[in-house]
Amino acid sequence: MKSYELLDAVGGIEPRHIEAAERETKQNKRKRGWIGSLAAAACVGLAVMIAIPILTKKNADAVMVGGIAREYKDAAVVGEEVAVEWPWEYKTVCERYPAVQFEGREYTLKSSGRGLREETIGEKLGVAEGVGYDGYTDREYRQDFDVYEIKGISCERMIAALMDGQFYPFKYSAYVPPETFGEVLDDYSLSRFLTLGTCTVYDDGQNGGTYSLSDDGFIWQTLEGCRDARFVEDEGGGRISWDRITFSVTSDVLGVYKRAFYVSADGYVGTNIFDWAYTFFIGEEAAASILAYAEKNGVEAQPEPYLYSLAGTLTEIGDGYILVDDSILCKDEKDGMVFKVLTADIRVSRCIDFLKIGVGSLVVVSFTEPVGVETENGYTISSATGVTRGTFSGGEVLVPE
Amino acid sequence: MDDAKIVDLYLERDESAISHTAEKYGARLFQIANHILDDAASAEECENSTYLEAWNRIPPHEPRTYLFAFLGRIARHLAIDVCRRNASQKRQALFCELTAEMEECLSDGDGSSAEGEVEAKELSRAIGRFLDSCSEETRNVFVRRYWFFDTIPEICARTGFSQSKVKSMLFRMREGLREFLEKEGYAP
Repeated sequence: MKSYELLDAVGGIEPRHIEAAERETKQNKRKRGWIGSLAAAACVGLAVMIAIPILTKKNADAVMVGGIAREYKDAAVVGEEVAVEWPWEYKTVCERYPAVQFEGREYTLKSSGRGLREETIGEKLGVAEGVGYDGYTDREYRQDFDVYEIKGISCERMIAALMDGQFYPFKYSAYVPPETFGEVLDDYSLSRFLTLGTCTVYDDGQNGGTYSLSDDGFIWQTLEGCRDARFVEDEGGGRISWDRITFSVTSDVLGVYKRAFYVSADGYVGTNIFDWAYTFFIGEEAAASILAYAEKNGVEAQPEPYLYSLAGTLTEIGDGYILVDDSILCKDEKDGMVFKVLTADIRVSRCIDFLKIGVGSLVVVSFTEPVGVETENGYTISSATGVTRGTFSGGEVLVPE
Repeated sequence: MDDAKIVDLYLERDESAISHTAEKYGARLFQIANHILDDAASAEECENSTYLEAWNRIPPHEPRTYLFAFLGRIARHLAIDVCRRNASQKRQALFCELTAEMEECLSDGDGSSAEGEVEAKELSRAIGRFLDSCSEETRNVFVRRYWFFDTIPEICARTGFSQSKVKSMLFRMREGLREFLEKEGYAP
């Protein structure tokens, strides 16, 4: 039996199981996940976030690996990606305690999982209790953490927890949507913490290209004039034919990585940076002026992948690094290059260790920042977030079975 | 309009059955397909193909009491089919992930069965028996993940559970299903 047959067989389960899972509980009826409500750009972010990093090459043109042009042959590498529930000892501290209880309220870790810089931290608020769970041992863990204000952000919305010497952003987990856009601007100091730089233009839902804006002042000025814009409840179902621009936004303070912030021609502003679908009606006039500004001032840019990928043969496992040689993918193997991938981050080292990836394996490395400057020792990747085994194919992309 | 009446319209070959179906279930069918394909245009095609399939399958089927599940199953099947035919990264991402997760439910080995090809319907029944042995809470999470193809954050949003809890529940369910299938003789 193959895994896809099992997935197919799940499709044939009895209707009562499907109907039961489709029914929403009254308690959660107002809760709407953001994924179904934001179209393409947000979905791209999500899809790649959970995706198998794939390097694919159909032509003999250059492939960009974290900003480095490589001449690869007509081939594809698919990285295995299993939703691993890491054993307790392999989890980062914030993975161990993804939620904390503070003054009777639950705060959950923001998705980026990145630490906050100390200068963004305000007054100490008190002590919160973190609750962790190890699925392997069925054991619950509890630990106290000092929690702090994040400068510029309402404590009602987010706090920072000090864990193993590093501050991490947590959000109040209840669904409490703001009534107006002004509340969002104030509660999160949005114009300060969010840079509207790279955007994708959609024409009737179709991708019309990626553009870069060097100054988002006009957009924020326009949005400041929309403080009274009302929150629009997401009814689900999604809207798929928008003329809109969608900015890819990353903010360590807000704890988000490459999320979406869109302005649509029919007068809506929406974002998934708060983990729920927050949509506000700012009116067609304000939206039109933002779209016109972006159209006039946007400079064509290359789309950014959600994560960069490097595929190659693992040639060495050292103390705090691995070496990955991409010769196997090169049109001419002599052009192969060795990349040094730093593995100090447990999210990388645990892949090697727990998944037992050894020297000689074909691997796919995911990383968040472009490859650094070349040194005499070659290129170094210091922002790796994971390593998986790869499957090499001489043609089409493979689906692991 | 209630489901039984919509099914009657299909049986009477009244084309308004399709518009009533679209009105009542269109958004949800689109969502099922879009979850799998991550592409609005293709999902819309699947949604429309679902209506055509329903038109062709009713009769002989008469899903008066399970119309949504009936339609959803068609949409899911069509979307998976498109996904398999299409080699684009974006469309296959979630499908690959879920296929890989399902791998955990199989015994170690080369992925082939000692018993040869498994009858899909019987396997579905076996999975159903396994689901019946689980709590409603975990059963629904499993179905949301592997039938509806919901992402982990979506399941969290729906249930109010933390990501860690959902992952743990799924992990245990996969382990449980693997053991169950072994006992049922589906794996060596």
